Amino acid sequence: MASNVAHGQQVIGHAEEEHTTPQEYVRVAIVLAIITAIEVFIYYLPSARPLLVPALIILSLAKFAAVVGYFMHLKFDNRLFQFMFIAGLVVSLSVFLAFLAMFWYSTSYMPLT
Amino acid sequence: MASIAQPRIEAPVITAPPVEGTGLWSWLTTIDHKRIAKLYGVTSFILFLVGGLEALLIRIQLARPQNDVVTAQRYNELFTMHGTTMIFLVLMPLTVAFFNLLVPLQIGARDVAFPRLNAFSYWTFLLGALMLNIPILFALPSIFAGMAETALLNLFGSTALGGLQATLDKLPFANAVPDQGWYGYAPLTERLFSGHQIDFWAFGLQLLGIASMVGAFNFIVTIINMRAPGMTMMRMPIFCWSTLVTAVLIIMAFPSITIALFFLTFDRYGGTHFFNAFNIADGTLVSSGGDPMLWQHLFWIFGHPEVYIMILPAFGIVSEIIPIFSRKPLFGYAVMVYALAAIAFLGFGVWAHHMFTTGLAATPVAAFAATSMLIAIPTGVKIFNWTGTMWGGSLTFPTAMLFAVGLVSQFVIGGLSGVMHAVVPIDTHQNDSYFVIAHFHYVLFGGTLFALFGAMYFWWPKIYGKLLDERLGKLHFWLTFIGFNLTFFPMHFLGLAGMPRRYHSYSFESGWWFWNAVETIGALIIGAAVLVFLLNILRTAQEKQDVPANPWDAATLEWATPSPPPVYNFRIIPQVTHRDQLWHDKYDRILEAQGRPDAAADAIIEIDQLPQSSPVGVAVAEEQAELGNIHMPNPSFYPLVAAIGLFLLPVGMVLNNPHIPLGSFIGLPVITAIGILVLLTGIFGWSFEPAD
Amino acid sequence: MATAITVETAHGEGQGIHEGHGHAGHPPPSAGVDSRKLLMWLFLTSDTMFFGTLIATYMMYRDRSIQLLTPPYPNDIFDIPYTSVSAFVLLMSSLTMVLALASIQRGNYRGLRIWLAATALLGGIFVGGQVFEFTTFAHEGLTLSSNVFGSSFYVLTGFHGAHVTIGVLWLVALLVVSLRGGLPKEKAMSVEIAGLYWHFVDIVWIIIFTFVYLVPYPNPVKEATEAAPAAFLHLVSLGQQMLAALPF
Repeated sequence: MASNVAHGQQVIGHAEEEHTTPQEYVRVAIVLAIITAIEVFIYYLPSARPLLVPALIILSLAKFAAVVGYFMHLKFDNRLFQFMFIAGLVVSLSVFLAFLAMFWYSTSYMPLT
Repeated sequence: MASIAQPRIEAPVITAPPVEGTGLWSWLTTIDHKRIAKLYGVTSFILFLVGGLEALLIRIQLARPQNDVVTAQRYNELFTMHGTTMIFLVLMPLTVAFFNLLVPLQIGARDVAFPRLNAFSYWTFLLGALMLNIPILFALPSIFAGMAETALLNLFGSTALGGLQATLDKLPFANAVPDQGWYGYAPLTERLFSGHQIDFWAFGLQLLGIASMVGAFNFIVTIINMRAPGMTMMRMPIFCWSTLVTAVLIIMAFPSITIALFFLTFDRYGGTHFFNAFNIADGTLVSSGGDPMLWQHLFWIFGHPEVYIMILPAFGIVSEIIPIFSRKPLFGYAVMVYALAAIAFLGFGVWAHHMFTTGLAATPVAAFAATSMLIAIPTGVKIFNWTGTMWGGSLTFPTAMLFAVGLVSQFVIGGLSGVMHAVVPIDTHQNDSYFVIAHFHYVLFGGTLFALFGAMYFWWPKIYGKLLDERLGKLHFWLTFIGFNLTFFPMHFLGLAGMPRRYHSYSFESGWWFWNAVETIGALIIGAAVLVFLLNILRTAQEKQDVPANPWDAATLEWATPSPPPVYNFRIIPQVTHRDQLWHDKYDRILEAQGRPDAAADAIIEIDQLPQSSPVGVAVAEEQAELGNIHMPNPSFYPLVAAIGLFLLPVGMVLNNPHIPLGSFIGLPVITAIGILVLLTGIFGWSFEPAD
Repeated sequence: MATAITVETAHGEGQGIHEGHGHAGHPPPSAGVDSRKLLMWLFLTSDTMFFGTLIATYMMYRDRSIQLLTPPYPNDIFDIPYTSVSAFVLLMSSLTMVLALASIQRGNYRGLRIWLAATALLGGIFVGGQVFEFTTFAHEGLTLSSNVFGSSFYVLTGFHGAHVTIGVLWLVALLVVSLRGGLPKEKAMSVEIAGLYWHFVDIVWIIIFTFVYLVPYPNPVKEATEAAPAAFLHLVSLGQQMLAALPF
């Protein structure tokens, strides 16, 4: 960024450098804190038990996306980084879901829940 | 290199371009990618000789039924070290040597993106190789003494050497050679079933993994970010593409083995139960819940992409060599790139085909069989495209081309037996038999090693400024080709006849003796071929040659630099307009002059070879004066310091062993502490040392 | 760890020695991105596989020690309110980190130092909390060797804790450099890269907190041992025979 501009180089994807202001960062953090509070709250809510696991997965993915997208700036950054990181996530998720499926469904050590 | 020292171009205000230092210190601190390539190449070639020696000992043991040249324990050690050495210390680092040599030259850069990280990668590799090989180097004298003892006794009835083997067996570490097979299946590697030989193997692999990953990060950044102006991704030489794809495979596959080895270390030192199903509590066995299958999964999640890590660079090399000696551009460049990417992507979805006989459920078996067969498609595409490149070309067959075509023919055999393994019922029959040995030697020897030999003949002038002898080269090729097929083709028969792998000896009644004898003769022919190659190297080293920049009339940018290239590679970073830039400059421009309308191109031909008085020479001097002097990063010894620090951590762990006197006193507390200090010194010095 | 090493590039950006003028004859980065930032993103991509392996191993062993009736069990060990506070602390350290980056990009060096110090402090609190948590668990009988739950829990969270510790050391190093005047606005990239690493460590904890701590565990059922596969019981008896055959 700044150092690259000093190099006189055309740096793609930095037009949005000032895209996110500190106020917005604080807002994102507040949302993250609220989601965490909801997660812990529903953990203690007996009536939420049947839907607890899907709810936790959705909430944690939302937190994940918010930190990667805003704090790590990936949402506004070079598409190369977006492609790399998302492709890496897809490979590692598919590999390890297949791995877990093989363990859980080919032995009797299935999760008890 | 001396001729490079004097600037040939008399430019107004210009200092001499940077030159390489000389002496040991300059090698220890070098961060020049070409020197690191030489270090990688020489180290892994020496290790190739060690691994080849181990292979010969295996073959001699199997030469006749009921043979007892080496003991069963030594035999286990030999095949373990042969496999581990050839995979991690020969094929991978030899391809890395070519990555180092070629990638910056081919993309028109002066070095890799992070030169010091590159040096760190080499030193970590060297120390990891040392870690892995310490025990076998202490054990080999005892093995040879045993063979000499037996030979004297059988031939002359002499007992002159009696007791020598027993004495040499007492050498430190001589009985700590890894013996569990190259994939180290749990629970054989656990404390309950093994001594400290596993530590050498596990820590050695851990260091090698760090070296590979660091190198891979570096090459990805280099290829993505250091390309010369105009060199779009689809104008890049195909070897750079194969490097990029291989590096991506390395950074995505090695974490799995790193963590698995980390678990293993915890199992061995921390009492965890990742891979052992038992726990000893008060002398009784209780179930701990640990699962040996976890190791198999984690190992092969790494292990199958690892196969492509070894073969894709070979594909890249062959895709560079075949067009040059067919005098045609590579057929279907874009499809070749997509095929590389497809092989890499599918490579992550096939690992369980190594585990078909472990009792997986029907669904995963069917799924992994299907993905494994799918990989044959992009691989087949490559074979057809190489054939298409040669089709209708004006073919010549120097040694490099012979080895390249050798790959195409031999890899087809290995590939076909590979597809056979995807068929589950056949795999169940062939599993753990010599058929599998035949398959992966056709892929890795007939594939990767053939390509690497071809690459040595092809790029030798670029590295050393000398052409290897062609007559000896052809002898080398034909001996290798015949010896290789004699050794490994009969293994198909033996495997189907039921000969299991990793067996120390077999009975006469099994009927396997004939092909085993043939295989041993083949292995000795391969040994002779390697000696011919060594002779070729030595003879060439003594010759005086004046090799032009581009002896093969090749098309990629490395041939635009002098042979060998100066430390800064390119006096001026070239402007790229076409895929086969040098051919375009040379041939298209002639056509253009004859009236063919073609886009105007900036010639970059052999800038350093031009007389300074020529128009281009003057232009170069002027442009360089305008840009300023060539500035290369300084040598640094911090990469070496950091690598030594990293190496000392496991050294302390290995020494921390009840069998070694004072080991537990000096091992963990002292040596590991020193290691941490040295590592921190290296990182600190590195961080605050000016980059250039 | 390679990540903690400040690296140079042939573009001369590494130490910022050459700011202000183009590097002799070197073209701009061909992908238009900073090489060090690219390196960090690649490392993080690879790190998804590192943590993927660790988390998958944990998930695979998640219920096994309950099924095999090898205590201690997760439900007796975990202290959700305590861990929720640490998770919150680490989440907030991501905010302070991003504020540190915003400060240096605007040339606000005082803000940079305050936020860097705050991030390092929050990270330190998290690591300290983890040390306290480990000690408590060990007192309650959960060790590396007590069962597969202990093994995989300590190695996963410990690996993450080591990442946080390296991050704290990195932030402290940046703070010291900044206090000595070595971190001008032009070197914002150094802070941005450290920040990427820091946020990644945070997202890994988001996953760990959910899947290790919050997703509920079953309680042990006495009949559960009968669910163990016959092959496993066979292995145990085989192992017992082998143990009996040992000379010592």
